[in-house]
Amino acid sequence: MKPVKLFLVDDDKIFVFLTKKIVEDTGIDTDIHVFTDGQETIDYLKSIIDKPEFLPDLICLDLSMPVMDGWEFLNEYMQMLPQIHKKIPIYLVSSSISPHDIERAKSVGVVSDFIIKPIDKEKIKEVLKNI
Amino acid sequence: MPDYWPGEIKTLTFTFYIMMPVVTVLSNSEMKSNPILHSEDEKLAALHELGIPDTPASEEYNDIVALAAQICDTSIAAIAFAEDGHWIVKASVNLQLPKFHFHPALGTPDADCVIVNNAYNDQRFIGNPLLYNTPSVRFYAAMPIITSSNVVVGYLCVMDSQAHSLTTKQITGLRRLSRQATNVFNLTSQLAGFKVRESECNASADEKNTIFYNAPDAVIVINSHGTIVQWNPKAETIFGWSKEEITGNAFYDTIIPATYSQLYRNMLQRYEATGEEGLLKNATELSALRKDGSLIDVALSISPTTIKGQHFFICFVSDITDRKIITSRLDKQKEFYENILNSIPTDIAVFGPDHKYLFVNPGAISNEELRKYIIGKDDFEYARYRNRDIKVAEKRRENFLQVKKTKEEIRWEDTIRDPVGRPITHLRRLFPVLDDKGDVMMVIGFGIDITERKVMEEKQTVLVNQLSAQNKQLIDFCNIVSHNLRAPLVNMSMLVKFIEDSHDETEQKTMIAMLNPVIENLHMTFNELVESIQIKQDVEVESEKIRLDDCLERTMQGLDLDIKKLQAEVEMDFDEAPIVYYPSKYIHSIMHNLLSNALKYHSPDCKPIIKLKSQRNDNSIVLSVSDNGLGIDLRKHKDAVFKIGKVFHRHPDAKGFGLFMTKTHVEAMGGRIWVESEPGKGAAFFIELINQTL
Repeated sequence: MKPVKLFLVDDDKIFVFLTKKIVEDTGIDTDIHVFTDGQETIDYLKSIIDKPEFLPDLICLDLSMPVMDGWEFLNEYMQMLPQIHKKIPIYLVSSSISPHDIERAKSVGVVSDFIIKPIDKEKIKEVLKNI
Repeated sequence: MPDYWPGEIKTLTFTFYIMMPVVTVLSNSEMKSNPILHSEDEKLAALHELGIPDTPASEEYNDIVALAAQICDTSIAAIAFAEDGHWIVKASVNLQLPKFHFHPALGTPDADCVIVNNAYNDQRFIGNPLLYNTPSVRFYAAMPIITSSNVVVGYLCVMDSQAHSLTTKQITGLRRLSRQATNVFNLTSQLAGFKVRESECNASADEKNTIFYNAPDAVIVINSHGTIVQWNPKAETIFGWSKEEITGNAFYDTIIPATYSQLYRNMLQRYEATGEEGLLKNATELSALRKDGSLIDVALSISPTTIKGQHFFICFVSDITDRKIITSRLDKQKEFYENILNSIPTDIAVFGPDHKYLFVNPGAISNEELRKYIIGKDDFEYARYRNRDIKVAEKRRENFLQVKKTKEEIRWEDTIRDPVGRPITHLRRLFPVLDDKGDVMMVIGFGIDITERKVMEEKQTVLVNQLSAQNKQLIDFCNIVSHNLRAPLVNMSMLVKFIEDSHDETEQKTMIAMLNPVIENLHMTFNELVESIQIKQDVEVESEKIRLDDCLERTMQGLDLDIKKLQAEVEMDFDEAPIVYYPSKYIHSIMHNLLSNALKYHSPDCKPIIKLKSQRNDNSIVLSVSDNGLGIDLRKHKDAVFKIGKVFHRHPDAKGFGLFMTKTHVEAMGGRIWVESEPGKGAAFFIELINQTL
């Protein structure tokens, strides 16, 4: 069985470190690719768009990031969607507890769920198992 | 047409009657050189032009015709004069016709005696009524009556029913009688002239008396000693004295009150001595004395005149009591309205259709002399006189012409600074007053000092803006609190949990070490949030005059290390607006944030060049900071440029606070901030500072 390919998009190095630790603790074979902002992610996705084997199985996306934040990423991603021949669940993982953000996230079709930080092993396990 | 004219010769007779020539004779010798007047109309008109009056009848003419008939031994004699366009018989012997109906000279150019021995054989008598008269005339002789000015005014004629002739003696006698007739004519004419003139004189005197007695004003005639000699009925009505009572009294001591008495005495005496009229003829208003001792308001004018070598003064006196009462009422009304206009705490000015001042109240111009000066003048004259800026006059003329053209009120606000730099604002209104035809009769200008209201409004605007900005930022604030504060807290809690759960001491130490930057981040974020809250709460922050070049110098000192490290060039152009009126800490913070951003996001390919410029725009100043750095992709970030925590480049110090704080400062003062930028071509930030009146 191939490891789960997870794109973790977050500029918070500590959170990235801790997330990696939690994923490791779940025991699920996961290949984590870290991006520090939306633009970096979009650029990479564009470069592999014709190679479905490199596309992730799952994206965990922070909202507040430099250069291109999570919302801007989603806009760009929606435009790229017709060319991406794979259904990739996107989880918004944010420390925001704003109802406005939560409502907005629900309105974006490609977003599977809105996860409020901190995350724990059980939640990550649930997400990874759904792939 | 007389009925005795025979029908068969009517036409001929008529022609004869009309065409009978006559001679105007100046003298026998000159006669031939004078033109012959061919129609009876012409000859009679000529006599009228000479001003010969109608000849009065006289007994002497009867004697002359009787003597003529006697001398010439004829049965008929007559004297005829030109009168009312006809030859009228004034005296006759045996002649029934009142008019000759023909010219007695019978068309001869000779003004001397005309003799027709037998009219039956004479062509000149064809159709002549004398032939058909009873007795019928056969013999005819006429001698002209010539005035001293050699004008033929009539004829002395002798006629007979028998053919006849005259001897030389008879002709001489007839000529002498003709001269006598001339003398009588001249004398009676003169007498008639005298009578006409006498009658005219009497009529003229009657006219003058009528005017004098019925004059609507008092007419008083005084002699050179000031004694009243004439006093008309109106004078009796006004002053109460009858003509009999007052005549012979001194003018000065009766109707002229003591205060003016000497003045008028002097004026009349001076006229007597020098002939100078001075103010005599000018109508002077004064209170004159009545018989009962009361005073009456009159207008008095005195006209000097000379009658038969003696000086007299004709005094015309009008009763102006009613006029005085009306004038007094009008004055009181005027005073009433002027008091209101003068006390009202408003600038009021009234202009004529030519934009000249008709009225200004002390609210508009406090100095009384200047207030008097400006009446009848316009703003251009006033500006020159006071050495003021002509632009104000130009602007006012523009507004005036607009009101005159549109016939509608306009209003605008004027803001100037007082000597200590505080803005003083006036609300000005200009509205037209139209006449019956709808033309602009005058234009009224109002100006109210609305400085206090304006300050309050501005404060309110600032407050509203602050509130609205705060409200808008509240969502951002929730986000930053939830994210920027919560994110480190989340990390901390996760780290703590890991530390607790971990049994590996090395791992525990690693994670404990990770706590420090998290706490530091939390601390810094917290401080910045507190600072932004403080700005929003700082409603009463004081503005002051700040030199932009000083402010930039201070900012550059703070960023000296970065400037030197990057070898950045900072250029400034504050010539157009060197000074701003702004809270010191705000302007310093704004300049620091924009300059540090320009340095932070410099292009790696070239040396940073940062340009700062200030531009005046009416009541505001626009401060711009432009650079040649990385720029921002506004297509993506247009709505998020100034959001809290928004970072456009991967820079270690970028936290997304600088522009948020700058926007907070600018909006707190009611201004605006915007950006123009393209990625790779640099960015230019613009800040509008409002309420920057010179």
